[in-house]
Order: sequence, then structure tokens, then C-alpha cells
Amino acid sequence: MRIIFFILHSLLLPISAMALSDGFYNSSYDSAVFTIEEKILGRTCYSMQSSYLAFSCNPAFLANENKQQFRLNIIADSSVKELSDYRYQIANDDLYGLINKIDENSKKPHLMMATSNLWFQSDWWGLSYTPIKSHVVTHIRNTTLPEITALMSTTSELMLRAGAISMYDSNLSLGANLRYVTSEFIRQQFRVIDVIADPNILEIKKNQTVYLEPGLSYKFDVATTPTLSATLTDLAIYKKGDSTENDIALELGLMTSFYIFDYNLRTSIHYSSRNDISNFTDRFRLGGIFEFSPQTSLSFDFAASELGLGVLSQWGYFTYGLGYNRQKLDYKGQSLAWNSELLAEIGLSF
Amino acid sequence: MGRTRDHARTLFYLPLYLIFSIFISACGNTWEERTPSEYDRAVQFIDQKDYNSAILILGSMLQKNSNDQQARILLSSAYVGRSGLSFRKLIAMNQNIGDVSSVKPNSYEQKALKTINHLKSKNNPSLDEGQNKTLLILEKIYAFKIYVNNFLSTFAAIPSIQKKSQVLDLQNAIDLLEASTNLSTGLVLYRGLLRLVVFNYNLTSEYNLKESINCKTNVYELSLKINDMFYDIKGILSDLSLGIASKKKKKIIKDTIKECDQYYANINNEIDILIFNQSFDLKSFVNEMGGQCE
Repeated sequence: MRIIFFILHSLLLPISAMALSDGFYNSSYDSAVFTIEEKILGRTCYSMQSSYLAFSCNPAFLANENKQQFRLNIIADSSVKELSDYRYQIANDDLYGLINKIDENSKKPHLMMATSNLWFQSDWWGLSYTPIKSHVVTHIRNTTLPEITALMSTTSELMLRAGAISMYDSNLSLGANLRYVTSEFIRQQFRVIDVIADPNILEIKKNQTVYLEPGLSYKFDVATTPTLSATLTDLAIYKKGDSTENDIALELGLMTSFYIFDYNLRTSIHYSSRNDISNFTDRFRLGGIFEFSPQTSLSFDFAASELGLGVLSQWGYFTYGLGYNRQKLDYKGQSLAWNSELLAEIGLSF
Repeated sequence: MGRTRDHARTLFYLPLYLIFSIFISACGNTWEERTPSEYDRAVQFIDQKDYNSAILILGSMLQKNSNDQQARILLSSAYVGRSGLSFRKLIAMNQNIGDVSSVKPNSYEQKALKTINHLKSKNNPSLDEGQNKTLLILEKIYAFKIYVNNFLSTFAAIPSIQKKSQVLDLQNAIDLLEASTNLSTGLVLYRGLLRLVVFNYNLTSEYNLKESINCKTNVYELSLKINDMFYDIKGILSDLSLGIASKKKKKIIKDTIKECDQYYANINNEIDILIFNQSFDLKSFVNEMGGQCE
């Protein structure tokens, strides 16, 4: 067990929070989102064994999985049309259109996401490709001389995920994600008038990064089989281009598993050290997956400033999901507004 | 048995260790950043449209430190907010600056110019040298004013302001920006657009020639007014030429500056002569325009 303490100690202490994008949760990072379940669980996903239809975020959990699947998936939230407009305006250098679009949404911070994925999992390993994931968060302040905080990114990703049971302790599993991510992004705070005077200050940056994300899980042989897990995310081992300013983050959690009327309920208490969280209380989350059958599951997640509920199901070759996510965004410690997202997923499973 | 004891110990110590480590790792967190600064509070007030509170906070910040550039810019924007002028309307002006020569004028000044030409063409022997000179200078003043009007009409709708209090707020905002050093080109553009709105208001009040030119017009006062008008438009043009990104629009602005300089130089020489000779006679012009001079 000493090895676990050593690893935890070395992982926890060097972490520094940068708070670059205060309160814009899940926005400064470029990791792929494969299913509604993952989107709803947010960072809690790293400390939970996924449902049969999803892809476990912590690679160590793959060590104990027994499934073969090839999946194609599209997920989008209710703002997908706006997201497409943003993408079009950035691509066509339509600055006035872009600023007007942001200005229209000025009453509260705006968050949008859309992604498509395909992945293959064979028991302990999986390979995924995300051709496109678009993410936009905007917030405008000082309406008389507007200053915009904009995080806009389009990423594509190729990932290998694998996990294995330790030779020394069968309760201990280890694993790693190896991700190659290319991204184009705007991550800036700017005065609108300054961009009008000099459009060149609005920079679309490009980046290529290879991340290695080691994870581990330890299952205790007691009732409810508590499983302690840790994942180190966004550890960049190769970088080219503009800096994404993503910081290494540690995801820690304790998952427990119950049976209610023969249905499995897994819950997890989770801690995240990611730098897009400005409130200490928001670092703690409670998430869960209620698996009615391998084909149908319900996921939920609660945190001080976030809650979500989603359903994932399968009908023949088709998979589909629906979700609702609500986040209270803050900016430099000021509580701004709740942002609600309706999410839909459609896909194929072979 | 030994293994079970090991797990039990782990279960006991692990949560304690986790809590301890998490607190240590969170010590470097951003708690100190979380207290909203005075700037953030002022911006919050602006966004809540409570401009008076924002002005109060920012004003006292500037009193404590007169070099606080950020407070000065925010205070300027708070005054703009209180004036009721929206940012959207302000930047809409900037989107459509056209060529002055493409404008077809239709104004009081145009009528005045026609009247002057009519009087001159009559070759009226009753017009003495002083009156002829007066007509000549009036012709140049009105031509300048028409040019300025035309220039303003090349912008997409300039927001109109009705109340004197709005003008005072905008003037305060402009003064604060004028007192700021090292403004970004965007803020120079912002100042130029604010000046344009105030100038447009002044054209119908302070610089209204219809009200200014009558039988009792003082030539010295008129010259000061023309002078102010020229320097106002010159300031606007200079701000716009710095802040406008489009090369085409920049060229239009630069051409306009040259033309304005030319118009002003023409007027200035003549006005000096008139002031020196005190020979400003508007009788024939005012009568022709429908007024009555004794």
C-alpha cells in the first residue's frame, strides 16, 4: 500500500491552480467527450466505471471491463446552431458578425458544445478518433465599453486508452491514455473597440499536443466494494504551436457500488484540481450511474455550482441519449448566472 | 487475515491523508483573487445600470490616485452609460463611413449659399465693398459648414441626444479620455466616436449658423465659433484616422482632413481682415434670407 501513498503524495503536492478561466468549467481543457454520460458526470467521470454503452475515462477501469464495441456518436447541445455560426464567422474572418453574435448573448455567459466521435473498445484497451469537437464560452462585461472573455476551440483527437491489473495486487489496476490533440482556439480577454480598431489582436491560435494521462484504481474487498481512483490528466509530453495554457490536473475519487432491486448503482465522491475551478467547494462533486441493464443507464452529477442528469440507451444498432446540464458560472469570484444546456446524442453501436 | 487488517488500516488512514493533501494542494489556490476588486465592483454597477454608484467608486479611486488609468477609462465608460448612449449605436457609426463627395446636401446652409450667389450675381451697385467682402467670407463659412455637414452625413446614423445633461456626461467621458496617456487605438476610436456624437449635437446648438448669423452678429464671436468648430472636427478626424482599421476609410479621413484644412485656411485669412477693418455688414444677406435689419 505504501506505493499508493507515494504516488498520491507525489501527484497531489505539485499542483498549482492557475485560474485562467475562472468558473468556466470544463472549458479550458480539450479532452474529448464520448457520450452524454461523460458530459453529465463531468470530471466525476474519472473516478467511475462507465456504463456498458460508455467509455471509462480513467484508463485503469478498462482493466476489469469485458466488452467489445465499435461506436459512432454525435453529441450536441441546444446551442448547436449558434455554435455553427461562430465557427463560420471565425473561418470567414467575419469580425463584426462575431462581435454582434457575442453581444446578442451578452445578458449572461454563454456556453456551447458539439462533438462527434468514433471509438473501438476491446476489453482492456480502446482506440478513439474525434474528428471535431467545438466548444465556445463567452462572457461580456461592462456593457458601455464591452470587454469579452472568449474561449473558443475546435479540436480533433486520436486516443489510445488501455488498462491492466497489477501483477502484485489484483485489486490494483493501472492504465494510461495517450492522446494526440490538434486544436485551433481563441482564448482571450479583449475590448471590443480594440478589436474593431485592430482586428489582428484577435488571434486564432493553433496547437498540437500529445498527452499522457496515467490512472490507477484500487478496489477494497469490503461490502459496496469502494474503489479509490486517481488520474493525472493533461500531462503534455509533446507540444507544438501556441500554448493552450492547460495545466496538469489530478482527479481523485472514491466510488462505491450498490444494488437496488437488482440494478447497479455506482456513486462517487470526487475531487478535482483543475485550474478552471475558482471556488474550493466546486472541486468536490458527487456523481452516479444507475445501470438498469447494459442497454439503459441513468447518470447524474451534483456539485455546488453544477448539476446534471442524463439517460443513455440502445435500440438495436442505434444508441441515443438525452441530458440536461446546469452550471453556475462565475468570473473572478463574482457569481454570474446559471447556464443550462439540453444535450442530445445519437449514434451507432456494432 | 493479515491482508484484511492491512485493508482496514488503509481505509482508516486514506481519507485522512487525502483530506490533508487536498488542503495542502489547495493552499496555493486563488482565494485571495476571489475578493472582487474595486474595479470589478464598479463594472458590476455599470452592468446593473447603476451608473451613479460606479461613478462614485471610480471617482474616489481617481481622487486617491490620479494616475489610475484603468479607473479613468472605466469612469469614462460609466459617464457614457449614464448619458444613455449604447455601445452598439456608437460602433454602428463606424461601420459606414463613405466619401463626402457622394453626399447630396440639402440644408439651411445650402439655401444660404444660393442666396449669397444670387446677391453677388445681381451685381448690385448698392452693395459697398464691406458688404461684398462680407458675402465673400459668408460664402466660405457656409461652404465649410456644408462640407462638415456632408462629412457627418457619410456616417451611418449618428445617435442624437436631446438633453444638455447627456451632453455633459459625454463631454466628461471625452475629457477623461483626453487626460489619459497611452490610449490604445481602440480607445482613441471610442473617443473619436463620442466626440462625433457631441459635435453632431453642437451643430444644432452652438454651431448653428442660422441662429448665429443675424443683424447683430459680432464678427469676432463668429470667428471664435468657426475656430472651435474647426478644431472640434479636426480632433474627431484625427481620432478616427488613428482608430479606424480599414485602409480605405483611413484614406477618406485623411483626404477630409486636408480639405478641412483648406477650407479653414480660406476662411481664416478673410476673417482676420474683417476683424481688423470692423467692416462686417450683413444687412443685404439677412434681408434676402427673410430676416429684417434696420
